[in-house]
Amino acid sequence: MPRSLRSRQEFTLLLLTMALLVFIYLWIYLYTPLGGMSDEVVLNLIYLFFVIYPIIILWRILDYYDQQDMPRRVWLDFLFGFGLFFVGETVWALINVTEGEVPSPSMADAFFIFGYFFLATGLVRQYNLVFPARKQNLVIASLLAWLAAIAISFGLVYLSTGIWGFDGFFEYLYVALDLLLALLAFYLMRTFGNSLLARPLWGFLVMFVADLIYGLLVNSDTYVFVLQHADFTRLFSDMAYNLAYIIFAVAFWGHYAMLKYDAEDAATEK
Amino acid sequence: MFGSHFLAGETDGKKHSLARLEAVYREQRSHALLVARRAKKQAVFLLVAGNLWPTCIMKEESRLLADARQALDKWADVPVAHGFLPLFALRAAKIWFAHTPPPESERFSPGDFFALLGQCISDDQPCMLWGRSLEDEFFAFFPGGGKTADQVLDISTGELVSDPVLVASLLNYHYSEILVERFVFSPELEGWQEYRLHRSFCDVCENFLARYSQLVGRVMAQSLMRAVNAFARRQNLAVEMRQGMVYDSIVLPDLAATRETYQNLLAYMLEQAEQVIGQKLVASILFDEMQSLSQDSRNESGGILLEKYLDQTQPGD
Repeated sequence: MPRSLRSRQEFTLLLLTMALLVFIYLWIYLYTPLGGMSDEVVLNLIYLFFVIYPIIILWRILDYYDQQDMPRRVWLDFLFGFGLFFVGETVWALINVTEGEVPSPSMADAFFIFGYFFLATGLVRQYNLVFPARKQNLVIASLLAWLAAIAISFGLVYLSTGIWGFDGFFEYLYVALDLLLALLAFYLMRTFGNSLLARPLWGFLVMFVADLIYGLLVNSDTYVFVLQHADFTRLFSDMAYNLAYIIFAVAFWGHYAMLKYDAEDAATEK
Repeated sequence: MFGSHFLAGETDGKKHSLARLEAVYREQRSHALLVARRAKKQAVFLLVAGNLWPTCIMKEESRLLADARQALDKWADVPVAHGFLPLFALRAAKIWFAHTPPPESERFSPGDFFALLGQCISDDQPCMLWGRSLEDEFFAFFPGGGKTADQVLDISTGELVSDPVLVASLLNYHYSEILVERFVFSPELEGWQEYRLHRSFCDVCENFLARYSQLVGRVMAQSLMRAVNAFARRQNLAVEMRQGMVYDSIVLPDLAATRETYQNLLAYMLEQAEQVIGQKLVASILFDEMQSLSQDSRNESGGILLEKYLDQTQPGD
């Protein structure tokens, strides 16, 4: 079977699987057919599938890089970042299912923070690869970015509550970190244009939107943790997260497919 | 004499009119060598795609470059040996037929020849060696600037070799005395201009591939090279990219065709790369590459880049 046809078939299958899962997700969310916590469990499982799929693809992408290949470090950082996000999301889902409401901060936040560290490192490495001449100020810039994210989060907490504290800090921190990642991703996207390397970066933009919606809802006490009482605002927030991970999955898959079929072509030629 | 190998089967001793032979070869648009003999004198003419090359070699005791058209009129109706000149030997012939004064022949022992190779490598400018020994006859092209010979025209096997392993084996293993003529680089000569284009193409491609490989990794860089190799095969072009190196044995009848071919190959490679890293980054890599070159090399390399890249590789963008 020609390479392009196989690739297209596999891509179609991937999209259909994602679409089917989104459909099931929506159906369960809107009609809660299973009753009790079962609906919440299934929704969380579907969501965790969306989160883990990019990790599986990233894992397979790494096979196609040599240890000394510089882009391998970028992909490895993304793998660790998304891996930690997956652990964080699993912890969050477990708390959500067992305790109903997820406190802030929770144990999940530790994984998310470390996850952000790796994702940021991955993007910075990518930036270094693309602009090797601008390396010298990058360490200072990264430190400043983290400090800025923390300052912005405290500022937003103060603006929303009127006191300097940690209440809602992490929700805003994620938005600030997402914003910084999205800005860096956007800058790289402008350089990569409409190419293969630009595609995963869209995920960071959508992740920023998702975290922004979630942060606003949680900090305004309008995020409904119990599915039976949930409204469209939670659906909007949840779907934004789903979409972000689907974009990552599809974009990573494109990269993986190219590597895989190229390697197969090379083997055939030999 | 240059090209005696190609005349071997054609020296029929018959009296041919130079003008008639010129007409025959022009009709076939083929490359040829014509050797007219009168007493101890020889006049050697080159036809490129059937057209008389502007200069010819007059040989008596020494070798002189002369106006081909005038000589052709003077040497009408003398016995002429003639033979097809294969395309792979054309660039060497163009240089041989244009160098004035022609270089002196020198005899080298195998050891001294090895030292001469080192000298050619360390020279700033390219050069061509014409070597003849009991075992072999060859033309070797050296890019200069510390680089080893990148092309050897091996007369005995009848091919232009660009694989570095074969090039090294052809040059380094000689067991008898070698008669050598060294043609130094002259930028105004067409043969050398073609060679410079070849070098620019190789340098641009190799530098680009090195940077591309850094950005996307070895597997994807290999994939790009395979795509370019397949494209070259479809176009019947003797060029191959392997492990970030370009092995280019392309020889075409004229400078314009050579430039166009390199331009097309490079454009194809860059278009493929654009799909992975984007046009802006491709242009940025080329810009960095151009900035690292001297003005001369930049002009030469710019000559094989398409307009859309040229616009973006000018300083100040």
